[in-house]
Amino acid sequence: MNEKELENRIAGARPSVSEGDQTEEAAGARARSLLRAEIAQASERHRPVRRRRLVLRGALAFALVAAVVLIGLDLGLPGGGSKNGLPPATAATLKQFANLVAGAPDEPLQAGQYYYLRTVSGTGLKALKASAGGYSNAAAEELWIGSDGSGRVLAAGGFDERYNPRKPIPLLRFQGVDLDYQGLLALPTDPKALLRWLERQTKGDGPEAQDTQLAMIAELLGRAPAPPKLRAALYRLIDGFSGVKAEGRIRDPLGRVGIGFKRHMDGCKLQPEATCDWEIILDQKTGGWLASRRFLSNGGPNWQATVETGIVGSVSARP
Amino acid sequence: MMKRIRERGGDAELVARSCSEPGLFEPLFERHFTAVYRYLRRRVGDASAEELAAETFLQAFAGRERYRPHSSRSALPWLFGIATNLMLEQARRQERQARAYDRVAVMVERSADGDRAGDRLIAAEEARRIVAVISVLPEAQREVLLLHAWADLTSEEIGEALAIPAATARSRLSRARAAVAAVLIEDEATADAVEEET
Repeated sequence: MNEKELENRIAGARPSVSEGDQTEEAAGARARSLLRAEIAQASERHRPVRRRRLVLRGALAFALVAAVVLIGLDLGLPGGGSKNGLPPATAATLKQFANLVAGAPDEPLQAGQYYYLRTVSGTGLKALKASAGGYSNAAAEELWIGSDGSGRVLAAGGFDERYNPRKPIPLLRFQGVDLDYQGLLALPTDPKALLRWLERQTKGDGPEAQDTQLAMIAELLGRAPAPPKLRAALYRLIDGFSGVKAEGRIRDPLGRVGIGFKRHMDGCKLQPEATCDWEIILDQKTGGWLASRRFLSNGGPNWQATVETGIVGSVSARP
Repeated sequence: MMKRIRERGGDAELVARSCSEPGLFEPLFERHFTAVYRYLRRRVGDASAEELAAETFLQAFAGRERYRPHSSRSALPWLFGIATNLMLEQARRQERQARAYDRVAVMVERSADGDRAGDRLIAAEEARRIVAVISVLPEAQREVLLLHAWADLTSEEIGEALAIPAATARSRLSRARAAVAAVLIEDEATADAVEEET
């Protein structure tokens, strides 16, 4: 088989789409309308009005001062530096959140109980609220995780996958990592031992190992029913990664106010030259999980936010 | 190919000027939306394609100040790069990549002379087989192959889209083709053996 013939056969496997049909026209119209709204906003910002600039400068200076004062007051941050070289606010905030979540009651799932999780995920900086109460620009997903490995994943677009003890629901969506609920309970709650476990899972990832470890931490915090002590250990572990910085108060994609932690990451699997940023957003009062975001240099943020969690009695029940 | 590049020669200028005159980004949308949308439609189906295509242009607009034109001066590779990232992220999130491929595999293009049911069945079977092989290729190879075969990008343009050197794109393309060819040759050998037995 020569190269040309092979090319033709691969191109021939290209699925057909109806060109210029109503679906295409409607998609174009909606996308154009969204883009025009962005263009209109940007055009407004580009108006060169001297007075407006002065007002903006004043507002920015006030916001900076207010942010510093508020973060310091609200979190009661101690002084002094971190052994990891992180800004004091980052280490202290993570420690404070670790202590908060460690004190929560530890209630492992009993037989017949399921941990229910509803998330929305999407691209762009935020989800756009729809009048029906849902979100646009976001895909919903529901998970039911049982103590014996049984469970269910129900996602937009008709995706409905059931799991059983022989085919347990995976808590970490990384190739080559099998972690079910019992495996989760068995994870070490000592940060150093937990880091060694993560290092074993990312062996062979080379310079990207730390990036993958942080992605796994976000998944354990945001998707798995991690017990309080494990959750606290994960927060303490984040403190050990150089470059993680507290961002202060930010809004998650659903508009909720939380404390953000961000780390600039060099490289991601598909684009070695590209940069990705890792970001998690935690509830500022409870230290609980709100959302995670990844930023690609060649594209914008991709995010996942937790909407609801609870304990239910079956894979069709909701809290 | 040269003709296509010349026709798109104004992309870089439009993007650059849109930084101070945002309205100039709209002609870029009119020029490239269809190509990006159709590629996404083939990869992920109608429902996701609309959202991803819209987001591709929103993100391109938001990041237009970071855009650096490459040799082709066309913005299409840049847009395909953003679309690819969005698509991969979505697929990872929803664990549905394999299903998406299954879905598109059945929508095989009917060839002009393939009216006979038997021919169509064989063509569909081969397409399904090729798509199945492509779906298990390493992600980096798969994206290069599909941007070339389904979006008609050159190695240089794929390099721009995925932020990799053109030489890397060529070597990934070569490895991907070899993998597909190996499976097709094996299939044909098996079919020949069965035919001889009967």
